Amino acid sequence: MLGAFTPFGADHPLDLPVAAMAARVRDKDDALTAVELVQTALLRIELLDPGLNAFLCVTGELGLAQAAAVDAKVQAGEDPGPLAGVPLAVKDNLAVPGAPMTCASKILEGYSPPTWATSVERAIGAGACVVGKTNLDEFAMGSSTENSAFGPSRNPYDPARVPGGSSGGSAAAVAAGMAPLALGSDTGGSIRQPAALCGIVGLKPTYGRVSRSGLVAFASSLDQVGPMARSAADARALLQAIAGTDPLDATTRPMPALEPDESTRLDGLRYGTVTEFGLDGVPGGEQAQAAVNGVRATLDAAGASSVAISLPLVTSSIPVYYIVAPAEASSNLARYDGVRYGRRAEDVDSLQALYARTRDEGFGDEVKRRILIGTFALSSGYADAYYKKAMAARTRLREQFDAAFEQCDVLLSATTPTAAFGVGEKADDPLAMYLCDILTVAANLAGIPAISIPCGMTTDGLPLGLQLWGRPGSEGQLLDVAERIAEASGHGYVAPSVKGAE
Amino acid sequence: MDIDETLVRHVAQLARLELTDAEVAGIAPQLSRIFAHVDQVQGLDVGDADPATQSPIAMDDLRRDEAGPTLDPRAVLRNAPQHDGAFLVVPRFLGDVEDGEG
Repeated sequence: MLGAFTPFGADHPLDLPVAAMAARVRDKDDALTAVELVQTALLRIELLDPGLNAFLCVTGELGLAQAAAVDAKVQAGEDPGPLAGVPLAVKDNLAVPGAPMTCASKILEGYSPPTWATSVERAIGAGACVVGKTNLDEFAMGSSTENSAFGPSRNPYDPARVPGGSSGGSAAAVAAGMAPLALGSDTGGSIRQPAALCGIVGLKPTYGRVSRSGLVAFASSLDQVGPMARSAADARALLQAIAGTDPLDATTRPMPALEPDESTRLDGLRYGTVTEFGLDGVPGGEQAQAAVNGVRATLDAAGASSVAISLPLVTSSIPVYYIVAPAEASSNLARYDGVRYGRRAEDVDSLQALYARTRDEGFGDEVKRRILIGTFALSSGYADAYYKKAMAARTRLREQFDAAFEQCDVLLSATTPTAAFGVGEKADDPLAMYLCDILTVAANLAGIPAISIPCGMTTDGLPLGLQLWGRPGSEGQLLDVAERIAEASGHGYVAPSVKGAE
Repeated sequence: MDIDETLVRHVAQLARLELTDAEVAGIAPQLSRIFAHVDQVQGLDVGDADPATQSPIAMDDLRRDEAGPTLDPRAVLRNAPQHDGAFLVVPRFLGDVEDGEG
């Protein structure tokens, strides 16, 4: 059966825009089926993933069953939904019953969730078919996908380099053409940074836009689930499917619609250039800054205007983030104690030793580091000086963003200071790794949406990302502007050569 | 904030992490460097700002407290490292209890 399909080729239906792909599946008169799309995705995973390690688990049986259900609906004259037959990769911190969920940690060894993550369930409800669970930094703590108990993922543009993280497996899967759509989660940049380093689109929604029910909690006041795709239009299609209030996540809120607004123009757009996001003087930041400047020139030529913005608290966003996120993580990860699920230490004779040894054996170095940072920052005598102060700084940061959006429609910056770095290059220096998050964490601290889109390549052929930041609830506008920028600049997803390799 | 090995051991105990000596020795200087950076939070002038809340939950939004379907206990126990079919099993932690007293 598989032999009937060519997995690669300039015009394979799996490489169509998502709307066109789904339209062909939904058309009863078109011979293309959801099962064929999923089979092709599975074949590509089989051929490419041994070199990329993007997937921790392939859910072929599940994806093919979902595809068969989509095809049956089409044959019965029912509409299977706007994502009909589109293969979907799911970050392995989102629950899919029947498949293992590891969060790339040894401590969840053998765990399989009893319920669906709402976001995954909704994507499937729209017709998407889950082809696998993707690699990540353990419990989403990291920026390279090197902190995985199951080995690092590789960047499809250069397998000696990282794909970014923590949603690095999802980013590599989309960039390599193994799945047109992927779900990620973003606590401090974990969707946008790997999207930038893998040359795709990644969007962190407004806090409250997408349900986190079934997402393994990392830092609950920061976490959001969001789409990763080859274009803004594809990301919008997935976001529309997963967004909306959910009784299972009390932080979800009704938000403005996400439909495209064809009247959005670059002419007249006021974009903010944030002093504190400038990369002049940042080591290795020249190429990313030049790429952003190139897009600014395109915008200016199209009639947009730049507004100078200062967000002074952005310079403190790394210290604030590295208090808030570990503090909440230390609390959320208290549940992994070897009692109710996952791994349990052997040969212990007391309950205290069971907890402590299970956690020492089960957690990796970065997770332990963050638990210790967070536990210390919340400990008696320090909580006011660290956590409470950091949370007050978030209030002020949000006020600074509110004031900025009085003066402009969107903010524009690079997504990362540099392109993808080498596997192992920063593994021994946690602080250096943390400092790379300077361009992304502020969106999580303020709860606002931000999107990374491709904006060209370095001289070494590595992708760079441009980031657009918007006011709360403005994802629809961000996606409109992203589409217009792609049209005007000519920048977009460019398939890596690994795609044709075997 | 200088974080020495004694402090690491204390915090690890609070976090229920049984670190090896090598781990303690490796982590202490890393945490010292990280806290040297994050300590600037303490010097931030935030005036009288209240600590941030994300999506404050209004009382009107709370659902009624009604009985509904729950997870199947067998499905949940399937993930437990040790159980007896109805309960989770953990090592005894109240010391030796003679038969008949428990």
